[in-house]
Amino acid sequence: MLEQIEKYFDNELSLSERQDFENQLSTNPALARSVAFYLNTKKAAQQLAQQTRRAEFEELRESLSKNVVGRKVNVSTWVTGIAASVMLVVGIWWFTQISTPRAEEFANHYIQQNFETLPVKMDAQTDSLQMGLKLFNDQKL
Amino acid sequence: MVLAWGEGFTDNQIAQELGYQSANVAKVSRLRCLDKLRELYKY
Repeated sequence: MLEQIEKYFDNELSLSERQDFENQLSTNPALARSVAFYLNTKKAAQQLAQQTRRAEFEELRESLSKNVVGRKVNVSTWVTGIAASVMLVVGIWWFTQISTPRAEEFANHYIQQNFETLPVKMDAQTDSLQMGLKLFNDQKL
Repeated sequence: MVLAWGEGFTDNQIAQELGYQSANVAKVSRLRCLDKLRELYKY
């Protein structure tokens, strides 16, 4: 019976067979129930197949989005690593250049402080040594 | 098989995919399956 029903819906019956089938359908309740079962089953199978396919696509979409996020994390990790390395190298270079004075600068500073300007004491009395130091500082000697 | 039928695959495609000898064998098997389902549905 189901084969005949399927042939009817697949348009595989001749015109006379179709008319005969339709006449039977209007008079035979068992055939009508079978047709209803066939159509309901086909619709349920379509819905179930659609749900299954949708679930598969959803799973695929989630796995793809996870892969994309993972790739982004990898790229950002690489960029961060390279940036950190560059900063470290620049920092070491700056520290060695700026924080430690060169020997020549150090010596010039020491000479300026200790040999080019001699200490003069504040005193009311005239002291020949202090006067000599003042004249040296004023570059009159 | 019923799912494949619901998804719109032809009996020929179902036969190839599920290993039936021919489209006709797949069709007979599918209709038997529907018959069994109807028997179960009755009770």
